[in-house]
This record gives sequence, structure tokens and C-alpha cells, in this order.
Amino acid sequence: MPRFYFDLYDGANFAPDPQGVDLPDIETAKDEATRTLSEIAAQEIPGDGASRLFRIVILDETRSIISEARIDFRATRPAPGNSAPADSKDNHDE
Amino acid sequence: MTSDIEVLIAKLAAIGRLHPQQAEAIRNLPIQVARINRGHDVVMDGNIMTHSCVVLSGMLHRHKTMKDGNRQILSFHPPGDIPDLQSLHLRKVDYTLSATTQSVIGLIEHKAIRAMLRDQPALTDLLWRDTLIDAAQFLTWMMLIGQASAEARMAHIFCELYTRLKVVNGVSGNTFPFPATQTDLADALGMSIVHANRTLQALRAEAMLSFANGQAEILDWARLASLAQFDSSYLHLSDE
Repeated sequence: MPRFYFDLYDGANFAPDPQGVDLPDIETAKDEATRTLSEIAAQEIPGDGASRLFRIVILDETRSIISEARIDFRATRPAPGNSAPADSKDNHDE
Repeated sequence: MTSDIEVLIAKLAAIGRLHPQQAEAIRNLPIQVARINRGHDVVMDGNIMTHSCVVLSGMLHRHKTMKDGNRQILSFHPPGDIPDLQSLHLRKVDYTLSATTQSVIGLIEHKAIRAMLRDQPALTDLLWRDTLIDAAQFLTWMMLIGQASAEARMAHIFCELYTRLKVVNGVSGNTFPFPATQTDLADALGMSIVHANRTLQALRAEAMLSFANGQAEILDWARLASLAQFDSSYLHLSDE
């Protein structure tokens, strides 16, 4: 089986994959990257609601880029003055 | 590690009180020794069983595969375990039991186990206790898969296996065999292979755990156990 490398970018943090994983084909590698991104995002995003960008770059055995996948998370809240109950300070706040 | 029935005696002595005459009854069980190659099935989902098996060397795992092809590994079984003890009462098995690596098992006919339990009723309590501990491991596993981070799940499986192997003399210092592949670990922990691989790399970079070629080494037990939130009380080793 060919070896694929999955470099992870979490915002400005770059976590290269020195080891790689043996997988049957490129399609499996792409599925793995997609699933990994969703798992990492599910774990990391609930934090503080800040915008996050996760990218996985798939490299082949010669370390040439063959594919990339990303999850770009942004939480938006309505601008001040909008009628939606954004960031309201209700009287049952402490 | 012994590769005969003594490993079962060591396991049972670790989880409860085993009197010398009960150990002798286990030694007198007729067992048929079989070698199983990596990946081969010992028991298949739906089989109707007339015997159970004890792991003598190597490792087995229980697993089930969804109709869409996704596999969940339910449990790993190091030497000393009887992974299909339930079939003594639930003859039609509802999982598949396979060899994680080349393994040696001892097949014991159910009627021989029943005869032994008639002669040594206290052994019934001990095997019941073993089954309850098996269930307790599933409870812990369910919690981890549902609630713990990838790093905590990975750390936990190594902490558990180290603890279970230690009581059957299966560890050498901080090193122990864990002949699972990264795919096996991913299927056990409910994560992608790439995620499992990255998680292992992170634990290695943090100098907590090293895992390569089926050998694990705990580099920093305190930090690994803390990350895993590992509390061995659910394994009920010598707490009777």
C-alpha cells in the first residue's frame, strides 16, 4: 500500500506528519482526511467560539501535494442595534 | 509470561480469591491448544458454541461490523482472558472474536467447565465476578468514546492494557506488547486512522507514550494517567 502524509494546519500552527499512514488509494486518503478534520473540529471548536481554520494537506510518498481539505469555522452574532437577542444583559444576570 | 493455563490462574487470582484446590481444578481442565494466525476468526457472529477459549499467548479482540462496512472493535483480550465466557450461557454469540496477532488459545468444552463448577462452586462466583468486570470495562469504554478527547481515549487504552497485563506478568518494566495496528486502534477508539496516528504522535512528542511495531512503552505514567483520567478501580483488581 502506498504511504500518505497528512500535514495539519490549525490556524497559524503547523503540525507536519513525519510518519505517514499506509492506505490503499488516494480516495481512501481523502476520506481519511475529511473524517480526521471533522473529528478534530468537533473536539476543538466548542472552545471559546472564536473563528478557527483547520486544514489538512495530503502528500504522497515523494512529499508532493495531492489534495487539501479545510474546515473554516466562524461564529457570527448580529451587530449592535439589531433586534436579535445578541449578548443581552438580562436582569437575571448576576 | 507463561503460555499455559497458569496465565488463567494468575488472572483469576488477581480479580478475587482463588483457593489452591480451585487452581488445581483449573489445571485439570481438558484443554485443546490451537494456534490462530493474525486476523483469523476464533468465533463468528451467530455461531452456536459448545466451548469457550482462554487466551494463552498473543491477543484477541471482539468486534462487530455495521452493514455499511464500518467496524467497531469492542475489546482487546490479553493472555488470561476468556473472551467468550458468555457463550457458556448465551450459546449463540453476538460478536466476532479474532486474533489481533498470532496467538495461542486453549479451547475448553462447556461441559467440562460445568463439571468443574459443580465440583468447585466457589469458582462460579469468581467467573461471575470476571464477567461483571468485563461489563465494567465496557461502561468505562462507553464513557470514553462518548465524552473523552482523542488524546484521553488513546492514553486510556494504553493505561488499561498496561494495568491488566501487569497482573499476569505481561509487562517488562514500562514496556508491554500491544500487537494492534493503527487501524485496530482507530476502530477501537472510534476515530479515523489518520487521527489515531496523529494522536499517537502527539503523545510521543509529549514524552508520555511510545508505540511502534506492536510494542508500547509508557514514558511518563503520571502524566499519561492524568491525561486519560485513568482510575483503575473499575478493573477491580484485588479489591475484594
